[in-house]
Amino acid sequence: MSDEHNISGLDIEKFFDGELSKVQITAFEEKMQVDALFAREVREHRQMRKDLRVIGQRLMLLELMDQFHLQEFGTTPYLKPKSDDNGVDNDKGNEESDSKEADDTVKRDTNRTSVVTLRTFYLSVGVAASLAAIITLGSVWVIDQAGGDIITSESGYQDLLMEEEAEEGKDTNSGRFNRKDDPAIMPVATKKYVATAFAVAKDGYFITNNHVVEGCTNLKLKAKVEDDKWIEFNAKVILNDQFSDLAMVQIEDSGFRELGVLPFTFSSKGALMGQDVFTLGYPKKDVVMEPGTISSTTGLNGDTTAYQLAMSLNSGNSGGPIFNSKGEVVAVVKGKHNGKEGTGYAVRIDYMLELIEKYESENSVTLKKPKYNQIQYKSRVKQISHIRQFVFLVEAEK
Amino acid sequence: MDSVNEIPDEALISGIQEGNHQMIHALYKTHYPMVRKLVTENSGSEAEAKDVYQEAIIVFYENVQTKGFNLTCKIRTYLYSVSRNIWLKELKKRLPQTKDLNDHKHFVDINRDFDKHEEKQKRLDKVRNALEQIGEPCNSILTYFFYNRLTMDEIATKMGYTNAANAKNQKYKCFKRLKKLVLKVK
Repeated sequence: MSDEHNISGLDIEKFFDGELSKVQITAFEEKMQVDALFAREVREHRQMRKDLRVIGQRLMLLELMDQFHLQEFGTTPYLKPKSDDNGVDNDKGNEESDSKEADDTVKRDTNRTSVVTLRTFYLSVGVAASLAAIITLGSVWVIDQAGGDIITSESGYQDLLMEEEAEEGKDTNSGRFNRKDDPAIMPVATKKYVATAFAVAKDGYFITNNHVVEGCTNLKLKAKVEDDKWIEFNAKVILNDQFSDLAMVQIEDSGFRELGVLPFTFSSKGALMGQDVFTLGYPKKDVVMEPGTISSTTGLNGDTTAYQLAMSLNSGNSGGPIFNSKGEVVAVVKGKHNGKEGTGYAVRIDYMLELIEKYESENSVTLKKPKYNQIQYKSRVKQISHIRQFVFLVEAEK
Repeated sequence: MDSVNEIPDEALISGIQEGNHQMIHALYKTHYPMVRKLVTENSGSEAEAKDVYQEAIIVFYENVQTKGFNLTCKIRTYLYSVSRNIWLKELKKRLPQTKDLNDHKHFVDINRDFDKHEEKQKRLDKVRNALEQIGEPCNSILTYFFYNRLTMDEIATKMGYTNAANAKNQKYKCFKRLKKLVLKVK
């Protein structure tokens, strides 16, 4: 292996990078001539360098094509087209009809005018989302936090569930957090609680907090797509875990087809103390980014299921994903320290992954979880523009 | 909106060879309905049609980039032929009794390109798996360098190395490790 110029395995990469001196290059080439094994190693090395570049190029191309797809056909792939059969069957299977397809597509799109208007939105964001119907939230978003009776399961701890104004008939307890298990303050009308959920698989699976959805009679996932336009899907709780305070929710809506490919992944390593993170959530009638830092690797009173965050969280943030700077999910927001502004708590990613695994094994299914982190090398602004479509508002009626 | 349909194949090919995104866009939008029809008429969903189509475009794109590339049919026919191969193979995997597709367009024999593509795919999967297993800092260094094509100076700054030489040394070691991993991955 070693000759007078000490050409070693490490030098192959140097050779391809053009980092060897003239003398070394000569030695390198000579070695290739006389040493068949070495020559093979060099060939393999070259192939691998090429392969790596090709993979990178493919990822870039896939991302690009996803953008084009959204711009051109964005209304169809994520929605169950109502006229799927018509759209496909009107061709007679010959070359001639082929040329009309582009027109057909346009017509099919305009049939669903409600969805077509969203196209501009996609253009600007360039990431997949799924749409069923656009609704306008006409009513005012009432947040009665000042008088809000805080859910204090442990002293100092506060869930970040936001109560929305009851749909009809304001009850006397308006503005209080009511739990079904407290008959004394049981409201007459159902109450709506608002928080955050995020997609974990493109086939419509979401994660949020258990306390958000526990005991709900009706569950909706909503996302804002334009100034005052929202899409909404009916959803149901498919698995929950009180211990970690996580729940898995699935979209169950005839209008739903599939979310686009998730651009972010889940960190298998979790987070470290001091790491900069951010969350996206719905503390108001719009998605909000909140930056922060992991300040402790345990939660309140040594809670090992959670991290402590230096982050200013508000009602509505519950269930939101916590991202690290690479755009990987490392935790899920669950609450904050009541009265100690700027201290939050988030469930460790392990519990989320366990929950998903549990669901998969119990139901013998494999969710279409994201495989590649497409936003790893992007700026935070870019990362958020890719992520935000996958962060939904949860509305739980209890 | 339909004007791009008129771009001749030669112009599309030379545009794509240059990596012109607008040309890729034009190509993408022109032929998707054809593949959507093929897949959805053969028990596939639109999401599957999209996946098939994107893979076919990748095959085409990579072929166009190779030296001595020579297309013996129209791009449209080529994409259709590649797509039907991809989808037929997938269907056979799901339903072994599948014999053939219900075609709506004539196609050409592109088996050679397709076999090459499959072989390449296997190799790439190995490399990608190895890269996923390799851990940090190697994963970042190698992806920055090979995927994102950053310079070693940029990588050194991004990753906090004191200078490019240190980052380079680390990269050499990482590459060696990656190679070992690739050989191990089955």
